[in-house]
Amino acid sequence: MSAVDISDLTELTLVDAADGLRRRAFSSLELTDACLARIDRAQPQLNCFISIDPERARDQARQADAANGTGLLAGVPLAHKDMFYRRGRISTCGSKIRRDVVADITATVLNRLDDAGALEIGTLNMSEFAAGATGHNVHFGDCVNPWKAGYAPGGSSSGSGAAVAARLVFGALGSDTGGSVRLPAYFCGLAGLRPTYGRVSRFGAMPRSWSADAVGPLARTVRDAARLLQVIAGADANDPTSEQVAVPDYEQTIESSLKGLRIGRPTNFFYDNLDDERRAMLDASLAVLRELGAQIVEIEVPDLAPLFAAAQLVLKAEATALHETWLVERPDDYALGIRTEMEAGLFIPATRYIAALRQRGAVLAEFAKAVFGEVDVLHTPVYEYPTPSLAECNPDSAAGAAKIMATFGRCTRPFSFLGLPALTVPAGFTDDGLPTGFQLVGRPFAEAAILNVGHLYQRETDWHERAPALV
Amino acid sequence: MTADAAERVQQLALAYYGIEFSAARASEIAAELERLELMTRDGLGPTDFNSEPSAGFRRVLLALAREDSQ
Repeated sequence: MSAVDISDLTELTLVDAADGLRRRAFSSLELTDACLARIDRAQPQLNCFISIDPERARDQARQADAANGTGLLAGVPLAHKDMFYRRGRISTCGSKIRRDVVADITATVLNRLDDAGALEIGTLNMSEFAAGATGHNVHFGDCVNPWKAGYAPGGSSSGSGAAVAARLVFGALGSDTGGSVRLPAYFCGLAGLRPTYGRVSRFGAMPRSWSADAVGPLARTVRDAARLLQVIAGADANDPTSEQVAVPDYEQTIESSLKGLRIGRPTNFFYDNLDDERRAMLDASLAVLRELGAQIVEIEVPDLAPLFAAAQLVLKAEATALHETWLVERPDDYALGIRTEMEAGLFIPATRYIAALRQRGAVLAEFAKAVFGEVDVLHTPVYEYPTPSLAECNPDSAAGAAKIMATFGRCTRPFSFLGLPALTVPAGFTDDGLPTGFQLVGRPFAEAAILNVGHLYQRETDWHERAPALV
Repeated sequence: MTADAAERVQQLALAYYGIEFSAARASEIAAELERLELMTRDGLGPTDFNSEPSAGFRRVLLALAREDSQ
């Protein structure tokens, strides 16, 4: 082992950390200690962890150093949203109701990360039961955006976004039902991938909506996200909704040329509410992609408003079905905003719920024909408005919060309903110092294509290299 | 949204779940249900008689993936 200034190690990307470990440029213990030292400083400000287990992490790191493993993530410290079960450990799901429940199974995604040699430093804060897009949590405290104190980190994978952006861990898993990976990735300046429905096993992950839930990575770079997807993707006998579709080598295809690739810029729906500052940043990102050889094609997409509504209807019905017993027996154990969000689900007629699900296949076929018949990848905003402060979007107190809450997910949720892969890519900072970004949407199971576009964009830009300053 | 709708929410909540909603809360829920109903009923279009809720969607997803790989 070489003598290394461990304070610099947290600046490495996940891929560089993994490669450095393989070369024995530093040890997993040094890497882990660097993360733990940074967590000590950041956690009081950001509140992104629900639990931290330094001794377990150091033990794992020593074992990794002794084993000198060759796994894709051997010795790399990670942490994940506190909703992936690990046998013998509590997964709170960000809730009071589950805060003492010890898991009796281990999530497939955690098993796969273990097999790849990854370490787990702790568990990350999240919206209660993954129901919220802001980062508020009345039970464990609000998570804070590392770029600006008092601002929303996005949710529901709030801790995953804040912890990775603040360089506390090298990557994290989140879950995305209506945008819960892509939104915190956007607000925290990260790459965040929602894989195709069925690409990644959900066994052992807390459910919110069976029809829309997807497990995906948040990482500093698109390449890091590709590495994480490589490890967790693929069919799982424990999850009958995971599909037997071949998993390509994402890092091999990530450098492919964009020459001739058609990238669609929607002329309707997505730009309806966008301000000039965000519009200019999106246009600038398209200019970079054009320089790389992509053909930018203006395209009118099918009306997504009904999809947004159908997604809401299905999500509400399924989430409420999951929570019905607790809603009746333990209503006061939920945050008020979380509970009231679900209550309408108690009255959605079964016929309407089934109708929305029956239409899903036809709507997907129509969308794919209209969009992917013309372009290879769709480029859209992730969020259309300025990043809100935690105070102004507090679902339990702020006047006007409901109006802000309704703005989340408009650009992300339709693709959840369609089951399509979608990736958030950072694309600059607004005048108030907060990150912005764009969303790339691909054909079913074509994660490689959107990772390719996002990675080549990052090769030409340096937004992803900037780190928030810790006080 | 009618007062009848809010009242119906209150009655159903009590009958099915044993929950007592205030008139104001029942009214909010009824309004949300009406909004969802209007947007989804008129927006998504007709459904083929033979389409299944979940398997149909997954079949389309896989069929599209197969088309792309050819």
